[in-house]
Amino acid sequence: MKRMRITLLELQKILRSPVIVLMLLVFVGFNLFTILSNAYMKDELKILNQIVQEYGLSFNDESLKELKRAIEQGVSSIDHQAETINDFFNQLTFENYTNYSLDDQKTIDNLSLRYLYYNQASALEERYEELDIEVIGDGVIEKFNISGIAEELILNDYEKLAMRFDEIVEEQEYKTWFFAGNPYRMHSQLFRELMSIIAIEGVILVVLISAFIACYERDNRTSFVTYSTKTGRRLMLKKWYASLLGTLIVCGFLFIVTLAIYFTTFDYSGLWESFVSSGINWEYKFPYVTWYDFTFIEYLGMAILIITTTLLLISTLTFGVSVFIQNSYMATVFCYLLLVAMFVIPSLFTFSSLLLLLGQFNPTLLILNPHMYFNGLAGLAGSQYHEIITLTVWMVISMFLLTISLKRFMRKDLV
Amino acid sequence: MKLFWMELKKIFTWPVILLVVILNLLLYILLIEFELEYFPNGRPAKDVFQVEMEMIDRYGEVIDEDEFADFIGTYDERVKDANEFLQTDELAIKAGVDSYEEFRNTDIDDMAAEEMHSHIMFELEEDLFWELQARESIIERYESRVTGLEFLIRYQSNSKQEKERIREMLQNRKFQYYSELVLRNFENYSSQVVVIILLSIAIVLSPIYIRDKVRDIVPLQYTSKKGRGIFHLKWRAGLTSIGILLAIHLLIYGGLYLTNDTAHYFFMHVYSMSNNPVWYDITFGEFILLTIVAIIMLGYVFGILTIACSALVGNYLTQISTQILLFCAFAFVMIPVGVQRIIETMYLPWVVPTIYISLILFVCLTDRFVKKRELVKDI
Repeated sequence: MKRMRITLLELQKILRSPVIVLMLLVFVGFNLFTILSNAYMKDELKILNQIVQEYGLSFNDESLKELKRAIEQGVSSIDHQAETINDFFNQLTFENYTNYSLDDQKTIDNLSLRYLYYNQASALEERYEELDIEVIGDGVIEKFNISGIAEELILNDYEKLAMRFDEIVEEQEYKTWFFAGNPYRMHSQLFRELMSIIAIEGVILVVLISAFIACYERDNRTSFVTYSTKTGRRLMLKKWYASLLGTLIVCGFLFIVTLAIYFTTFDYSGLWESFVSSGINWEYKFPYVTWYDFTFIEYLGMAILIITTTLLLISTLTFGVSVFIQNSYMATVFCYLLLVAMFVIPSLFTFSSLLLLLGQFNPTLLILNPHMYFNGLAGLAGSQYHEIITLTVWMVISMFLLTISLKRFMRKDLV
Repeated sequence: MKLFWMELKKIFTWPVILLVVILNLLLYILLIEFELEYFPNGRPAKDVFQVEMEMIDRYGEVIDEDEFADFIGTYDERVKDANEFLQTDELAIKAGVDSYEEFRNTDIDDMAAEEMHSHIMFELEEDLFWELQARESIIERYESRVTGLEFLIRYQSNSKQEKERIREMLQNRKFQYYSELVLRNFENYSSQVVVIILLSIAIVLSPIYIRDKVRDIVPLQYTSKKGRGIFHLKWRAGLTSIGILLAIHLLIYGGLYLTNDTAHYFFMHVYSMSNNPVWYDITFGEFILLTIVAIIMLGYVFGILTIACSALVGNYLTQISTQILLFCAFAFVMIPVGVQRIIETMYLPWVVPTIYISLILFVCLTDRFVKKRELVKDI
């Protein structure tokens, strides 16, 4: 505990500054606004929780038949003349609809949503059969004009992905219920929108915090005192721990509050164990074909883990830069620009396909695309170990940078 | 005066200039390049732009009935060219399509015809057919110019003033003859430029007072002969550097905008090229000037707030955080309302001027508050 004391005291320096608290509140407010602007569909989404409760999380021909029968019964209880479900919904104009009593209208809404899920689920088998992973791979190569080693790497990936895809089809992993990807796009809403917003907010705060802690003594003219104490310049190491701890606290706060709001707004009960590679979760051109059979809750955990790790890594990187520059302002602005550069520069590598491919392995792109984690069909960033490689490589780079700048700092003249 | 130059030099140090240059390069690629390189973006848009340039030369801003008849005449000639092209094209003969009329109504299910259609449009990129498409869209707009405005009155306008304005436009025959391609491009471009300018100002001016505070030389300065006058001196140096930054950015990005070759449109009224009705009868050139004035005002407001903030807070952490929040407020509110849609009837006519006036008032108050505070502060 005594050894931790300095670290904790360093941490206090940021947590006590009101502006960090203010920014956290503003960011949470913004996230709340983003969530609520999509909240209008939360009642419609609840139908799926009912379906899952009644028919189980995964579906097969049997349970689909049952579902269809139930819908047919429901339809005939409202309109005795309707022979098939299709007939009923086809003749249902707006005027017809308003003629029903309010109770009936609710049932009709319910039935039509169930029918939507039924239709999507029963069409899946065919849609999956039409997908040819290797053709998609060729498409990627053609689109980005890739040749040489990069082409081989990508082809190799897609070959492996094709095997994984067959596994998904064989084990019927794609036949689990999830919010219909097509109208609702809940996967994108949570991971692409919300998670990447959290990540950006995290980056803004983490860079600020790390640079501030690293340059605190210099900025406050206390460096002569602190660096000549018994702890001396080893204080820098403690400061680094403090900035990592600060990163965890900030990120934890953002994640916990935002996700708590999100999951109280949208009801995911019963869906935690559903697979992300579910075919119902098919949003755009391709379904999500994850490399591993992640359930939703596992995927969420992985996404949080990856973003947190990346933020820790960015914190370390910033800390290294700040120790080197010893001016918190320059260091902060420089790190922001560096992160923007990582987003911009890979798109300029159109002249070399290997560079284009390597450019994908960078932390900024990693935290901006949480919806594509472990997804084989993520364009150039689809290789099996993409996330792990990116994190490891940048972990090494940032630790290396930190070591160099700390070493330099340890030997530097104080005045 | 010597001190003033010194202060100015302290603001523009080499590292800061370097950071601003990097910022400009990155954001140029990220935000601006697209608006310049891909203008007009896509196929019919490119042809619309070509045809419109020709039209402006021949007819001017207002197209009367005779001119329109002339335009139709050109269109018919082009259709004849298209017919001739189709009659000699192999694939077209194979598909049994020998007139432009049939070509337009290509059946998607008919494999041969569909193949011929996509071959001509996308593989050959035969300009003639795209041009015809462009001309059709212009004809369509011309024919629906009255009903379009009437539709707006009935369904889309949300305020009394807006309805009145559209009625007045109808009465004085202020119609939209041209597509809003150029206007939208300019609006997007200018708002991206504002983003870059504000960020540059923030980077350059944030340290202005903090630098001295952090180095603990303020007491030294304030007890010198010049005394607290240094604060005012720095303030003026800050204002000058905002001006310098604005001038440089506006010159560079203004110059780059000229590469879009939209000079033909400068003397046409904004309403003749905007889908959304606007409050004032100004020309596109005047609109550009108005946007520049708006950018200068926003730049100064943002810059003075930055300087004031720098004078108030004690460390870089607070300064950068407030800058980020301030920038977000500007990016989400001021840029869309105050630059992009500055004269559109979407907002009531008093909204935008009020926003600017209140901003300026706020800045004046901050200015006085900060200066007064500094004069009576304990060292």
